[in-house]
Amino acid sequence: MYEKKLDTDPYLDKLVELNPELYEEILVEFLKRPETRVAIARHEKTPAEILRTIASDKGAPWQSILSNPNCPPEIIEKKLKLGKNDDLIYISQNSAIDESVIRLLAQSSYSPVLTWVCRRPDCPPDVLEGLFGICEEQWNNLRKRVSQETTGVDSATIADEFLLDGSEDYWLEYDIELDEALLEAIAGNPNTPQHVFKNMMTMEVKRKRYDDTSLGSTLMNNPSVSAEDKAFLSLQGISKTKDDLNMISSMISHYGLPTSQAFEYSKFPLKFLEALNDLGHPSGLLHPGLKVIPNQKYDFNEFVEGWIKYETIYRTLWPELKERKDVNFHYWRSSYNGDNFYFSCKGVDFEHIFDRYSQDYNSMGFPFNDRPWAETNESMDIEMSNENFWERDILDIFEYGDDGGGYDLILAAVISKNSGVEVESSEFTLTKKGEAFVCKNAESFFEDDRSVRVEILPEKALPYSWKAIPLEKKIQITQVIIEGFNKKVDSKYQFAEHFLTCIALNTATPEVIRKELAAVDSKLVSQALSVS
Amino acid sequence: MAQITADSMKLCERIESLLAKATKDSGAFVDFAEENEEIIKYAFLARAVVRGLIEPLPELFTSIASIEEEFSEYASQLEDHDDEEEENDE
Repeated sequence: MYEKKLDTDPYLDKLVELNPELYEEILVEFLKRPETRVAIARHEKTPAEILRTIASDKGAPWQSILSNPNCPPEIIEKKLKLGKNDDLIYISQNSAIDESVIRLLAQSSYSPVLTWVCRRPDCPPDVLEGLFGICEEQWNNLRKRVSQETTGVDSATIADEFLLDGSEDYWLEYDIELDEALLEAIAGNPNTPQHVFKNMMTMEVKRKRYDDTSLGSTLMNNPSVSAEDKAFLSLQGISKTKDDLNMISSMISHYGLPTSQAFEYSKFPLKFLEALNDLGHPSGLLHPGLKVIPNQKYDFNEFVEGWIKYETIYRTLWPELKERKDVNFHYWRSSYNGDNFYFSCKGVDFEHIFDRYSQDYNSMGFPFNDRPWAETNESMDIEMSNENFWERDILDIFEYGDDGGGYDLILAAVISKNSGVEVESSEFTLTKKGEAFVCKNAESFFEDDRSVRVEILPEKALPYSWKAIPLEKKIQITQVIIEGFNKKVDSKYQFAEHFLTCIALNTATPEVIRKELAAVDSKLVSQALSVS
Repeated sequence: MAQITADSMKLCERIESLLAKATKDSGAFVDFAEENEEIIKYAFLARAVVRGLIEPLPELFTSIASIEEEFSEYASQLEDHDDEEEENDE
């Protein structure tokens, strides 16, 4: 089932309660910068007049504005009239629109709008029934065509027959013809009429979707589906899946807290940051200029995602590591896997997994982020060419064939791999012509999957700096991270382990903290301490 | 950097010529490369000498010379195979 909770920034909620005047002031302050203007539109208690001001911007964040319950009605009306598909989706995600707007959206010819309408907890039953008609028609057409192709086969067993034949054509057609997202939204809505559920029971209830759910499991999760229908599904081996109440997207969980954005700007007035710090804002903990709040409890597992999303923690712990001779920063750019920014340290076995769908605790994987403290340089000189070729196996490069150029790429790879700094005793040196040849081939071959040179500028990471943090705060931060590590929650403890390793490697970490780190049960932390 | 002697250059040219023959059948060449990484490495380095891409140290020629026999055997096998195919076609 779908549920929409008010998507708000808890620190702004606390601030409005404790100090309404300061809350008004901070909203005005948020309006002063393009980045914070975008962020404040996500907070679903931001007043209409502020949203109206943001909406007048060129390139206004329409997703945040139109899905915000305080969005001024005249803006919604105007956007409805213009009928742009994306805008209609955003409006359909707005929890405050009334039934007349829902009915208007339900007439859209753009399927994702209809899906979002059907996901609404306030979607009227007759709208759900009407939109189910679309799925029913698609299903009937599919069934009709398939039974024409398999004359004499009982339509109820069409899928089985097709599968027995070893044919995947049926599922291919099923995926193309049937709007599964819409069907799933209707199946998951408790307002859907009973007879619609009954009709759904004749459809492919067992067919697994990419997220391992099925039409049957969605129905099992819906409290309005009768016990009889659930028993029927259960007999087919279908069970309830994890009930995800956050099916309606949260802009804040996706993009982060608006108040965290405030900590990103060095010119954001300190009095607001102090007020947020007083409320226990986790970004305040990393800010060297903000005081330690006595008795304030911080839960690493609660706020680590914010630290990572805004990269404040990396900004605090990474740049100063460049002072170490055994630390090297790397930047891997891949059109398929995205960007990966990481560092290596001799004697510390960081694990790096740069697959598209995997998470790496030891690197930053957000693509093309603008980090003033980490400047990338795209030029493919001989050093970068050698670095890129060094990371590739010659036999892998053979898979690209001779490329019509007499195996020039292999030739470039062979001379590069046997002449770079990594080669202990090379049997030759490159001529100028050879260097140009290697660079030319590297430039074209590694165009969208390559190492890029990155320069670390700690002064541009300020005010965040491990060195600048007072001792008392350093101890507090370390303890909070150690607690997070020891709790072993999901994958969060692995982030904790990485941050503790960074603290161990930092030359500004005092002995008192090193002693605490020595007691942490982590191979990485131990390795970092032993090389420091 | 050592001067490239005429003999060394001739050696590299012979290897380059074998490499040109070997790469005509790219499928077979890739299979051969998988099993003979050292031969492939020095065959391409011989090509790099011929094309003036590298300045070799004397020990490189020793390494290149050490692959000649085996590489030559491979290239002649390919030639024999080509001849057989031609005969079969006739």
